[in-house]
Amino acid sequence: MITKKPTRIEITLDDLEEYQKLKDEQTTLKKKQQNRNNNTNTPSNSSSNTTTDQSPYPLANSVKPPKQTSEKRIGYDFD
Amino acid sequence: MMATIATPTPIPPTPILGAGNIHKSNNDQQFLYLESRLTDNIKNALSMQSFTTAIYFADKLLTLYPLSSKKYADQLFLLCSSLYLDKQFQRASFLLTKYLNSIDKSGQTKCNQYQRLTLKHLAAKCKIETNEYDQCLQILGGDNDQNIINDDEQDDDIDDIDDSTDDDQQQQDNVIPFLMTDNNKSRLDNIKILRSNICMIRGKCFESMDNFKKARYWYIQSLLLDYNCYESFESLSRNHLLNYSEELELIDRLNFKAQDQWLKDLYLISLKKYDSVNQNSNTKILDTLIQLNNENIDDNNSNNNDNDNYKYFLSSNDVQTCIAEYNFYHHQFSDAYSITKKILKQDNYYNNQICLMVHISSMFELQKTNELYYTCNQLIENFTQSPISWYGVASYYQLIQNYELSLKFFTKSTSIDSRIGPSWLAFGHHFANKGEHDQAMAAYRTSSRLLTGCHLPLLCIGMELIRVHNLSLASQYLLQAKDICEYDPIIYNELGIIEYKNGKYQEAIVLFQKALDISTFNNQSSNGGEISESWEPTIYNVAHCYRKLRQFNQALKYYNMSLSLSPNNPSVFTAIGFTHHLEGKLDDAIDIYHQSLSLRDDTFTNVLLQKALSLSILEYD
Repeated sequence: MITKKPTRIEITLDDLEEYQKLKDEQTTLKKKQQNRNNNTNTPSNSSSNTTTDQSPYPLANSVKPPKQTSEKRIGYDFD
Repeated sequence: MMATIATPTPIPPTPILGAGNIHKSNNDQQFLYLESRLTDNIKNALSMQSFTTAIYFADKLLTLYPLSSKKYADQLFLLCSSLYLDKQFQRASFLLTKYLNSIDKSGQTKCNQYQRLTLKHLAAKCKIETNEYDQCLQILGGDNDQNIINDDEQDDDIDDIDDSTDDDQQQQDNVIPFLMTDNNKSRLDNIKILRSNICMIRGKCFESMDNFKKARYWYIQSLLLDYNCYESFESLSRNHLLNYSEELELIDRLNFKAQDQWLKDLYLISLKKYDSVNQNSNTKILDTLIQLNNENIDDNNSNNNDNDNYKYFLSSNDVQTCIAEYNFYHHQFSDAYSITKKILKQDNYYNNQICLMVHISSMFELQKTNELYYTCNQLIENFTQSPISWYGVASYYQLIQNYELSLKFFTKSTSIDSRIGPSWLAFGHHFANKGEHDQAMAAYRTSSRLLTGCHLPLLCIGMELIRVHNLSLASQYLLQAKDICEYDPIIYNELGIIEYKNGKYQEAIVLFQKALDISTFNNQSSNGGEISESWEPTIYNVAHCYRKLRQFNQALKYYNMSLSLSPNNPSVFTAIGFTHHLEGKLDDAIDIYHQSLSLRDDTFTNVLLQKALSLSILEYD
């Protein structure tokens, strides 16, 4: 008898929710931390838009990058 | 075996006046001479498969006896047996029913109960051949146990039979070996064999009339009377009328004699072949046979002891078919294919349904299009009217994705024999692949009705319901499938899918892991317990669960395992990239998204890549 293969879960656009949820969580946490830092008057070295390698919230960024920079990053910088 | 030609009796001096009045003339010598000559001629003709000659002389022999005599019934049986062998089923059944009706009406006959039953058995066999199942059951007295002679009646019949002289009996035994057989067997055994065969015919009738419950009952009765009736056993096992536990229970109930253990073992290896985790007796034997087969032991008889006589039959095509089937159901498709290929090379016209089914299905799974095309051509040439041949053709078109022709030939296969469950199952796959849910469900349900003891139709219905997101109903079907066959890894994979879709990732992991454990165990004998490529989807599913639980290291471990089993699979690359992305390793994610997109351009990966690039650029700046 011809058998059926086991069902394979494919990643779909719905899985972006997972990404979005994680990102939202990280953004909230990051904001909370920033608020805590502001309350204790500790000067922050990093701007709100930048992340570092050691950042515990790598996805916490909601600002779109400038278009020019994107093109440069992906190798479409013809100027 | 060639029969020895009997020494001719001396020719009597008196000329023969005419067969019709010889018995009236009281010339015993002439009568005996004629009887002897005709009997010898029939015997010789039958041994030479010259059925026309046998029929000619049997007809003459019949005229020697009056209708009411006891010997008339025997000679009628001889004539009708010859007609049966010559495939003149209608004539044989007509003569037999006419005689049986006449003795029922007149009641003036010396024909005993046993002879009557023998004639009924032959008439019923003829009716089966002409597809007249209702009439066949009518001859056998319908669906009534009491119509088969009781044990008390058997004893009377034995006495009755023993009334005949030894010479008479010997003569009968020589000509009609299948009537009263050799002297080593007791008369009681012969009656049991006859009763068993009558039960088997009833089973066949009910099976043909789609009454599988009664068919199953009569086949079991047949085997309980005589476990040597392979035809009943084959009908039960080949058509999946019993589930695995029922099959094992039946084998236990058959009470094989100690010296017939080999037959029990042969029956055991024909049973369903999924349950290797429990190491039941049939899987143990099959594992031993596979080991012997792999070692290619020519002299496999040397180390035999009394308990493993089945090893003598290792080279038999039927045993090899069982091994191939075992490999097939454990996803060892190339092993199964090599065995069936060898069988069909040695015996080109071997028409064992299981062997052909495994052969075709293995080629389908291995995507051997050329070989499948060639095999189907041969099958069509050799067995034009066999549904398996057209099943093969349909599978070929399914494989090359010519769905229109595939549909046409699946239809042809199921119209030739509407009771062929595997064809309906494949028909269901065809519709499921095309996304035609209703038709797929209808085909699967038909298959489920036909293969009552097999879990696969229920499993496929469950899978189809998962596809259309009817998870609660899918779960019910899958649990039913699990009740029939507890150790098919796919069932656990599908149950895991339901848990996953319900957001119960931890529970899903347990089920997927169980599927992997069973498949690993199943592969122990063949490839040392490594997970085969067939289970890549399950590994991939486990990885998804870990990703959902944000256990990214575990997820990546399983994704990498999946990638090793299915290299260059773009969806695995995307999943790995996504996991890195969620971990915050954006550069790794971007690299892997690019690898995925180089293999297949899809929206999801593009969206993720754009998001990853956005974040990464900010880091870069």
